[in-house]
Amino acid sequence: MKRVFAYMRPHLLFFLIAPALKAVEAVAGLLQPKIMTTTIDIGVVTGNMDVIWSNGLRMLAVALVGIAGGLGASVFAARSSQGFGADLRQAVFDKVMSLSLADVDRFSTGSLITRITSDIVQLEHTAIMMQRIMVRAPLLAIGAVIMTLSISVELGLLLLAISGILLVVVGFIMSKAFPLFTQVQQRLDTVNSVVQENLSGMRTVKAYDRGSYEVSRFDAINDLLFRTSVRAGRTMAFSGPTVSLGMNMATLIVLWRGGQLVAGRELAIGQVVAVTQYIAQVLFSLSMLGFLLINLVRARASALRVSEVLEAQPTVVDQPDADPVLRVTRGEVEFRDVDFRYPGAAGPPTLSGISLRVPQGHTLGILGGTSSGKSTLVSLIPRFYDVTAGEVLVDGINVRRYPLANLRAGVSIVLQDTVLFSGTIEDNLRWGAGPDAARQELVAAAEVAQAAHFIQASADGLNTIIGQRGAGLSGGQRQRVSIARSLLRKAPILILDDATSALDFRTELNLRRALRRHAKGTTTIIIAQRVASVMDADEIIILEDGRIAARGTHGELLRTCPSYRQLCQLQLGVKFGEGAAANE
Amino acid sequence: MSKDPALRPGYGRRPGEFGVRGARFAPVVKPRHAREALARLMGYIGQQRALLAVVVGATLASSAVAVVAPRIVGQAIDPMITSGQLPGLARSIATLAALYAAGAFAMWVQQTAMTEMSNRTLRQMRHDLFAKVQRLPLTYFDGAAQGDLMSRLANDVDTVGLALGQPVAQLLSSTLSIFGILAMMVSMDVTMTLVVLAMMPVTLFVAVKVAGWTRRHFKRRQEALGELNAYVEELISGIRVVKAFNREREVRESFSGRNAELRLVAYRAELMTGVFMPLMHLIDNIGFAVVALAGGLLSAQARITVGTAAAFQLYSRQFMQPVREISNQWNTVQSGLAGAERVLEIMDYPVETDAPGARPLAEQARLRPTLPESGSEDGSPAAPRAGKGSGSATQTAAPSSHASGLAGHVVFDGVSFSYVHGVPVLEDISFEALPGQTVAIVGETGSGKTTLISLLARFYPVQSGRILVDGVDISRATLQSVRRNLGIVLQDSHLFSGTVRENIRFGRLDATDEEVERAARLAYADPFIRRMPNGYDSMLTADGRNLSQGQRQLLSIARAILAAPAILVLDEATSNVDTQTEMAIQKAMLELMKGRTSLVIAHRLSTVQGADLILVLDRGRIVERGTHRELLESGGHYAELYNSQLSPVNSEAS
Repeated sequence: MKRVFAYMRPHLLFFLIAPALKAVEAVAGLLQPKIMTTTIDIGVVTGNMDVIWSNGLRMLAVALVGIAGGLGASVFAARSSQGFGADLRQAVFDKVMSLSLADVDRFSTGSLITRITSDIVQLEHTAIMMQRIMVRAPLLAIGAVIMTLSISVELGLLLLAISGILLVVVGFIMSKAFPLFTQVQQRLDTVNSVVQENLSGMRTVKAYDRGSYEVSRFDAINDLLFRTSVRAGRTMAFSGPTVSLGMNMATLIVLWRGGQLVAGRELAIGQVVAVTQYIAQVLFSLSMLGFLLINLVRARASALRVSEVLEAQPTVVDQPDADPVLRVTRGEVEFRDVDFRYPGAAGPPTLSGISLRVPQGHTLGILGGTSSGKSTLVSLIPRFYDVTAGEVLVDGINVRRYPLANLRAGVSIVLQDTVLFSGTIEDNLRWGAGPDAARQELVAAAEVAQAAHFIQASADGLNTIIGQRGAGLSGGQRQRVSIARSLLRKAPILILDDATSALDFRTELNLRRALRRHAKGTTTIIIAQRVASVMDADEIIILEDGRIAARGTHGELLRTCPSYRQLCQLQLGVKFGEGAAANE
Repeated sequence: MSKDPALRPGYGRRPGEFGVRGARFAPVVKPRHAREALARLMGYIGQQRALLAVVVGATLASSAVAVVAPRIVGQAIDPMITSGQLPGLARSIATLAALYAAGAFAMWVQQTAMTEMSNRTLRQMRHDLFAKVQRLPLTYFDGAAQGDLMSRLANDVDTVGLALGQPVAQLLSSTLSIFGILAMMVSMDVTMTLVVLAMMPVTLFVAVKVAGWTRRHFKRRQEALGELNAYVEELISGIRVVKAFNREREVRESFSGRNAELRLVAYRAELMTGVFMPLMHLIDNIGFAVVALAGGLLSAQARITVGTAAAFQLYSRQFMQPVREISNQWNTVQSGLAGAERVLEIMDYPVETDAPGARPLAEQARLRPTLPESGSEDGSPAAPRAGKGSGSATQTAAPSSHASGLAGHVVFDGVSFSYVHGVPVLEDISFEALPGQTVAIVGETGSGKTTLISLLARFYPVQSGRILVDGVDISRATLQSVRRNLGIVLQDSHLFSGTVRENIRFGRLDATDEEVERAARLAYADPFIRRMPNGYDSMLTADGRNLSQGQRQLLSIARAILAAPAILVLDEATSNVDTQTEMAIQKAMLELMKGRTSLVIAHRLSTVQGADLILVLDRGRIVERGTHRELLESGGHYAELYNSQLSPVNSEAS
């Protein structure tokens, strides 16, 4: 929580000026009935026109000061709350960008988005409310009591006593409502996450015609939200009438007692009227309390969620002993007895006892079953995650010794889930190339990635705009653009994590041929589902349950590894004789 | 207002002109006026008539108390002033006490009913919106940024909710109060009433003006928020790439620009709201001063009693307060309306509809005497057949194990389609799959394979030509019956948060546990499911992150097996499954395909080899067709594809 409020500090001056100006407005409001008292008691009762006129003007002047305060307060409140919100939003976003992947996985994308947008909007809103109400409402109430005391000590004390009692009663109602509103907030989160999930699975929902099933699933949660909201609302429904009843009763007591005092000439009639108005002001302030409470509940939940992100510490960071000038030059990769387990995961480790070496310019192919650890293995090279045991070396140096930025600059990885960003194709390619690269360079990379053809075929060429997540391109086109993007980095190490799965045979073949020409000297690691994708690699490893089950060249594996032989038959549709090293 | 680009789905970016998905040809949604949005919101509230009646009744009662009480106070004060005596004070106070108690009770009833009513309305609105989203055509989702859509469903509905509760009750009670107080004032003194009313036009003018600004600014803020939401979503889901490319700094800078934009827009919106109250206070106070002045003058001239002057002083406060309250709440309602407009934009988007008079597929198919021998009966050109599949349909039609009673005879008859006008994705596609046959579709990326099966599922409407299932044009059948008879395994298999069992059961909701497990066994998903900590009852996270991609695919295959559809559609379903499991799956698939018409986008030779008919697609046209053997012999496009897969990159590889 403290972390969140820290972002208020730069705006603290404005944040405090706003309620101060609000106080001016409130004082102006308090003065009005006081002036009116003399208008009635002196002006009206005695028929003194001068008093009536001058008091009228005085009330006008006070009103003008009041509005100046009110307007000023609005400017400062809006400025400070939006400034606070924007700073906080930037900080949370920056934090998310600096987090390690394991942390992002833990929070989940959906919840991070809510935290950056909705939660912070809630905090901004509450900040404004606080500036508008927090100071003004108590001030009005206290002011009203003081003013009443100045008119009549007896009536003032009476008002104080009744306000005190009401405050206790309202406090009790609030303490009942508070947990309920917290619960409402949680239910609301559930509703939102169900919606999020439904939207991202829309194709599947449609394919199975499960719209109505999804609606019924949603309705169940929606109904829960409804019931909790109603319970919270019902609890709150007691506070308004209670406050108003209490204050009205106070008015009656003032009339009764005031009547006696007037009769006894201890009080003027105008003063009694003024006191009744002060009571109305106390009533107004107390009812504001409930309003504020609902917001505070929401804000508290939001602040907790936001600070959870701010407090998260990225697990993968530059080591203190990292050599700031160390860069990847040759591109040799080595794993020494590497074990890895995802943080918080149960069961056997994802990788165990992995040792392998890929010399500069060589190609390593990785085949393996579902969840055998292929993607995990390569994501250890750019330090998306840190190993649990053993070490990963690049150019013979432990990856932890590199500054993260330099290490990642040396490793170009094409991920299994293709991610493109909304913008033009050129924008996307420049992620790899940088802003100064010549257009020819982009085109050349696109050619190697077999993307040049369809890019040129589109009307806008490189300027073709693609939507979120590469909408507008087919799966294969997305893969090729993302390969081109990675090639442009010209990193000594290139990793293709099942990056050609949506390409047809021929396109993939052309791609492999082009890569071979283009990426000479680049150390290449290819994860694939198809034997054909890796069969010309310098070494192929087969992963099973996080261990290397077999290794060798295509020919060696055909001889030594029955399951590899079987795989080849299955995929290539050709019978291999025992010991035969080549296809028919 | 109508020029606003952000009213289109998505946030103003036009996706590529080429490619498969994402192009939108959806009509631009017309923006609505505040009045219409309001009317429709009122329509929602109107659904809760009984509650509404209670709210109105209770509000009437509590407002009546608020109106009458000051008069009694005035009557109690008058004799005090004139005579200094309190003859009827005790009685007045007793009456007031009773009135106030009744008023408080009415207020409680009103608030309780109100909370019920507004929450019911919100529940209804959330339901309607969600149900509506389920019926939107895929073109909508292709074009819309998911983050923006999410923002509408969450943030905007929320804003509407804030405007629906207290504000509506306040508006009601304030309106009633105004009329009541007006009546009281007129009954006491007309001149003073006119003095009080003199301030009304000023109040109204300012209120309406400021409310208009507020609504516009709030809408702009909600839009900016939606855009930021979309941006954040895109970057956080792509954070691996951001990290891999060391682009954290650039991304932060870009975010900072958008953030600053939102800050400015939000500042303006908040300022508008903030300016409102002080302005109202000013007018209010001026009015108060004027009334005090006039009251003083008139009573000094003895045209009214001092009690009346005092009562008017109270009334002017009481009269101004509901006016101010209305304007203030109207402001909240305005920001709610801004949200409602965005919600209604979704509500008004045209949904996927059935043609007039559409009936379920099976029902129509049953009316046909026999299966057509070829497409000719329907006036379609007889589609060329695969060699071995040329036997009559009745021979091939396996007694279907599928509940629908469909045989699964599929005919594409001269089908053409384009996402963007003038850029055809499919052209004149004609072929026939007899019941139980397997049709393999091969072709390069972007040749239209995915689109072809999307048309069969009616994800998009066919633009020319027809698709017939058991002789029935699917565009004339109900959408539900078309999709229920298809088992579709998509490229990106999606799982929902819930147990493994629930996820498989998604394929057929009434399946028993045994059936679910049987399907999982057939899909070879059973072993890994049993290895999970709670077996079939293990919870999956929303995006299935605790499973590998291959495992997710296995579950979605199990889902399709459970659905037991007449027609099976596989889109590269095997491409992500690991090599070991793949063999097993291929066997399971063969089992599944038996007696079931299957359309497969094939990347595997074994699938292609076993197919009854292979269609080779190239740039949206069928360039070759036949069986594996036939196509190899003809030595065309297919043979080239086939050989290229077999030949290694260079000879030294082995």
